[in-house]
Amino acid sequence: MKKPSARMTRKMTGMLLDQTWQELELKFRSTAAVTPRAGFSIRWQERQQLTERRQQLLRNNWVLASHGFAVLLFLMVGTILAGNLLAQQASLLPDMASGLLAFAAFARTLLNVTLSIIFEFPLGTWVWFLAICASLMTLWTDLFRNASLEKE
Amino acid sequence: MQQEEREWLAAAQRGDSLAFSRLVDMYAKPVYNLCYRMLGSPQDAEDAAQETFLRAFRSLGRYDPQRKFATWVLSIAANHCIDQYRRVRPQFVSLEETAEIELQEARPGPEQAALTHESQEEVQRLLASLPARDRAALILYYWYEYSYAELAKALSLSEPALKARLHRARRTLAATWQQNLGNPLFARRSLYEKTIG
Repeated sequence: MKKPSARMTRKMTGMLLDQTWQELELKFRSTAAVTPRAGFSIRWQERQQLTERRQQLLRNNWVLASHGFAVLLFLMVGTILAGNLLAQQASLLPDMASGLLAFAAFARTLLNVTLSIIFEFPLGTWVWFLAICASLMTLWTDLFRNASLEKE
Repeated sequence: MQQEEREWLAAAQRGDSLAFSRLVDMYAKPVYNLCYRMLGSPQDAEDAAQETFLRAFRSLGRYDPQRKFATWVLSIAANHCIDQYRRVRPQFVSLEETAEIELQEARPGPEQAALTHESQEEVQRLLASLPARDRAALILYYWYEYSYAELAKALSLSEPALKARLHRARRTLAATWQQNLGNPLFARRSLYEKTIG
């Protein structure tokens, strides 16, 4: 008997597979659907709540961790900056000290000059001088008050 | 879509999980059945179905109301099962090993129950011979009557690619069936592969 060619075998096999599939399709379609255990939606709700709680916890942990990190970073940067400032201030201290000393010397000179001027003139002259200054001040205040009243 | 369903969806989109649990109740069976057909184990199916609804609830903001909710949620389930299958390669577990599983049919007699179990296991064994994506395509097409367009969108495939996958899946199942029947033509691995290819 003549052996069928490979092409013929393939064709026959294809036909057999198509026919088999027809049977299988019927079998598949007639197979009953499986259903979950009773209370599926209740279990889903529990799971959903659990997941939500977990996510909330995770979110809280993230917030805590990120805030902690931010505080740490702030402290770190603050410390570095404060360290730099202190170092800068430390270099300013001698300048400030010498400035203060110069100001003290200037104040002492001013005091000496004032005292020497005061002691240059007799006390009576100073009394007259202060009396004239007070009279001029009173006069000026009066003139200013009258001018203001006229305006009103 | 029914008015009631639309209202539940709208409430769920505002974050009402109780409203969404009504939708879970409504679609638990088809989603669970798909997960079981994909993963072959009741425990994995329960876990995958629960996870599907969690993902759906979290992604409600992206849900397009023009699309059927069932189609959308089954797509999520199919893709989750494909990922799950690739990750763990689940083993087929007999329905008999899990007494809690109920079949949709109303309380059959012992003979009928045995036949049903046998049929379920046979189907599962056959499905187990397919790659995950081909299995999802076949299940959604024949059990859930998805259109080619819906299926292609759900599985992120082009329509020609989907048709090719379905053809390959049908051929693989038929060949596996013939192999199980002891057909010597399909015992020859090379020919079997050539036929499928």
